[in-house]
Amino acid sequence: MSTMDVDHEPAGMDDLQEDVLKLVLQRLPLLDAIRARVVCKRWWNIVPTLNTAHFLDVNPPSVSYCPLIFIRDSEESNSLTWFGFNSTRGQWERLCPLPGLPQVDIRPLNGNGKSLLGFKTTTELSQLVVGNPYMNQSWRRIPVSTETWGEVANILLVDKEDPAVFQIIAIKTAVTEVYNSYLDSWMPPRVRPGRDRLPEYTVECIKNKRINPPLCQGLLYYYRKEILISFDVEREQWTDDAIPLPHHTTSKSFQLLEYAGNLFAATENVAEGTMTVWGLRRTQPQGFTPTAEMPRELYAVMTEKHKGRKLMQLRAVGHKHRMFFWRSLNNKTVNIIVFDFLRREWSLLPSFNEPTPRDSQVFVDAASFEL
Amino acid sequence: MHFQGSPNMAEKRVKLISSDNDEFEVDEAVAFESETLRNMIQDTGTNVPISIPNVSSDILAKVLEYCSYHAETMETHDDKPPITDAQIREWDADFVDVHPATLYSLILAANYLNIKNLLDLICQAVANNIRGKTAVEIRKILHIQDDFTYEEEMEIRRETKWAFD
Repeated sequence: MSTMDVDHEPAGMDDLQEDVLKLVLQRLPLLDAIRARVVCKRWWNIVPTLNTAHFLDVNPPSVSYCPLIFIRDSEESNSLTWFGFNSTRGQWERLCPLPGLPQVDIRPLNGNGKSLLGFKTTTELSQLVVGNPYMNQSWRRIPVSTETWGEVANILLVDKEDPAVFQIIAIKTAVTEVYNSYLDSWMPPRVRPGRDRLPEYTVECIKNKRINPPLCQGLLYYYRKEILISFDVEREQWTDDAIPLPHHTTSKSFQLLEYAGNLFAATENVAEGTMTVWGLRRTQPQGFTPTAEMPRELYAVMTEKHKGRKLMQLRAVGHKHRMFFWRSLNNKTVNIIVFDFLRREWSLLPSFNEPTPRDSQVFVDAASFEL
Repeated sequence: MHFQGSPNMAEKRVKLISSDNDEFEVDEAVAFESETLRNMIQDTGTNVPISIPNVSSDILAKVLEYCSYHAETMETHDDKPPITDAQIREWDADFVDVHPATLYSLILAANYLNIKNLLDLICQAVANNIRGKTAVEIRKILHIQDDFTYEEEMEIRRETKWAFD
């Protein structure tokens, strides 16, 4: 028998060996892991070494792509090709063909990604089509609403549990409507915006894919003037949220993004050559506080192709354990900067090297797609 | 203390000795739930008692309770319906519903004895205790000393204000 000394003190977390402590911390959702990092120095050092594969969602999909790039060979061409950044393999990959897709706007509908793509056709007024190109089904034509047609922001939200079930939230300045796939019809939200009539430029921003309205904990976030507002997608009503936004000069230098179940905002100071990431504090009073700053040299890389051109929209998206930032540029692929929040590391995303014909249309989209 | 394992007499029995010198006797199948014990038994046979120097009797009893139940769920009986996954999950949930200090001792034991399913189960239970808690709450629950310097604390707070206040 061993004569090893035995400690009869009750065991505590401090007694756990590093590998065992890692086993525990790896089971935390991403946001909890980020919070847990500041518990003590030991955890501060361990959390960034966790295998991020464990932080995939509750239902880890086999493969997921984010951001996406859509390319049309020429303005007249009907066919669209698309590519996605494979977050596991860390490379750009060509995605499946989109057979039977009618002539559509190259920019897909905003939304929460998952495994459906939505587009607005360019040949019919307000006609939307939705489909999963990997399922070999024909594109589902969404009935045209009598209320929200014309200048509308449409957001496609796919059910967490059942990827065949989806909603489309349509927002006009004075009207909001919700399309439910199982009803196959448009309905007014349970509570109309009423006094919260949205200023036109907010709708304009969403419609033009400038501001990605992120879905976060069941709330779809928008802003009106300098105030963040939200739409509860399950209850189908606008909430009372009225949260001040971080200071920014124009909507082009501002973006909202969801990451690890929390809302973040990015603001650019073009003159200074800096970009700041802000986190939304959930407890009262709710508000944004700065949490990270893009290194100036990477900001320069992000904007290097933009020299001497008109200022285009800052784009951002959170996916798995990373945040992606870029500035859109008409018909060009761009440098995308990545922030690994867990490790607090900034880097340049591998560039997209597919050849694009001279007069092709290119759109880098802040969407994700899961196979 | 004597631990009652599965009463299948045809099985070989294994003697285990805890850090505080209590003797346990279980079926080989129960001990085989532990990779470590399996290797030891395959090396030295079942004649010699196996001492487990870093697991106390109360924790070893708990571990063997787990192994015994899970070895039993693997058996098929003609006269009894098989245990369903839902029943196992319920049993597991009850099993980890213990004081946090017991959970940590169980992690150490499960790690040493290399019982993968038990280790997974308890790590998940500890992680669930931490979920949704602030750093201050986590320190309190887990009796962890905040060892950041004032300057480090200020630096961290500046970056993580959104997550904690």
